[in-house]
Amino acid sequence: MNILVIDDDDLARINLTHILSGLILPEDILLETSNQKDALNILAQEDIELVFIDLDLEKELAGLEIISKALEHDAYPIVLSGREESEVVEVAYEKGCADFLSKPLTKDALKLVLQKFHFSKKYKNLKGVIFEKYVTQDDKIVRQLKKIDEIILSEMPVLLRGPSGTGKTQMARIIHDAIIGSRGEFIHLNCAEIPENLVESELFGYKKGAFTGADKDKKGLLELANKGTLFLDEIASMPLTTQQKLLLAIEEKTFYPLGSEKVVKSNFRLISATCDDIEENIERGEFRNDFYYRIAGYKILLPPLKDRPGDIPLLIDYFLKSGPRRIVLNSKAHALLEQYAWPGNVRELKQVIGRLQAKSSGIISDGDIKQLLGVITSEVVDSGGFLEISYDISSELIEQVLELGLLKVMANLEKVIVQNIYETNGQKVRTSIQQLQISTNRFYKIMKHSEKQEDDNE
Amino acid sequence: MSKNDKMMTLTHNLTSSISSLVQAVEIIAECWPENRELLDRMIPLTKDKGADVLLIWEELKEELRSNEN
Repeated sequence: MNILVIDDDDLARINLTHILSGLILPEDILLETSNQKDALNILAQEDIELVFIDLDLEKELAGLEIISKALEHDAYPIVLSGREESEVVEVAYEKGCADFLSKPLTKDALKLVLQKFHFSKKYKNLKGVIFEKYVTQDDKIVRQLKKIDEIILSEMPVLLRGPSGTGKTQMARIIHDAIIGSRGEFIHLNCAEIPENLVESELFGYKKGAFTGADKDKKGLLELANKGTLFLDEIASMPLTTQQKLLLAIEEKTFYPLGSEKVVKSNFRLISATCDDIEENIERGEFRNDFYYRIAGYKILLPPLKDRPGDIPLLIDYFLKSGPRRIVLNSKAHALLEQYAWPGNVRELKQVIGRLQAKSSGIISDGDIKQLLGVITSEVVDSGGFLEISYDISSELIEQVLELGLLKVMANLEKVIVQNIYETNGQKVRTSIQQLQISTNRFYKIMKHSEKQEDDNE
Repeated sequence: MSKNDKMMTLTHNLTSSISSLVQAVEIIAECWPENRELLDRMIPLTKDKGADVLLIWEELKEELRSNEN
């Protein structure tokens, strides 16, 4: 690696290069110059990766011009100055300097700068990788993801928020792959899908005999996530007592498995996700305030698909191209997909494209889309306090009503809708109930009825 | 440049030069006597820096006196 030091104060420059020489590898090459002209020549001719720029050279603030040139040549610019004026510091950062350091530089400050530089070099393509895997052009998401470097450098826990189906699990996986990759495991626990009394044994593990049924030692997910990522989905469902224990484990990086007196160390990166309004849960006393602030070091909000309509055509294109079979949508079919509200978000869109790809015809019409989406709300009119909703009803449905009677078809339709929402939500009961706006009892009654029907059919 | 700005610049230059000088002296002590090449480069520059410090100090004293008057 080539490093360039630019400073017109000869003694300060030699001091810096001497300290640097003790911090870099023997094969790294240190170049130095005292003036702007030579600096620009070296940047143009040599493959400089890291450049220290004194802000005031033969001309005041001449270093600012060098920042831009350094960036053009893909070098990592660090500004050195004795100036403390905040306006100058601001301009230097606006020009693109990676760091602004006060002179004279200490060994510790240089160590930190080199560490940051190596991080930046290692994760140079991280943003590109993320945007390649998470298809979006939504300004709010893009702005959040552009700060991904902060996540890496600070090792802050990440909290992913957004409704079901917006790709929180996918985003957690992308962050894990980008930062940790094959060096550690990605351990996923959906807190809503596990009974309250089992959450702790799953997370912390247990010793044989810790409780009835614990017939052998079991490692917890925290231990399995050592050097990797622990992804806690639906974190709002985590019991309060577990939150308290987990808070300690996150802070101390140690914990005790159930029934064990032996402490276990685990250094994991925590990513949590929720579709709930956690602030509301805190107000209701269902979520610990201190735990929330611990897990929400870096928040990423993934809005529902209906709030980012610009992403729908991008995603349609992406899923069409990534599918096993090339199909073509006619313009009306495309428009229908773009107009649909996508209550199940990206997950639902992916499923629909997957089902379209499985169709026998390679050309997809608007009729195919209507049939696939069942009924599409085409118009909603407020008429004297009642909503008049008109639907596009498929001829197949009319035929069924004529054959089986309205009540049977309606019951069947109810079952299909509930099952569809349940599947679209990745079989998450709580989210499905919220979206369907029905009681838990009603949900289970419909699902039980549908299971019974399937058994009868078998 | 206002008097205040000049005072600030001189003070800044003085502290910066002294810090640089102290750092250089530490490096010289650390490298003494093995790293002859580095010492040959640094010692004359250290002397120059010391002279700079004295010059800036004189200038600053002048500025302080003129402010008193």
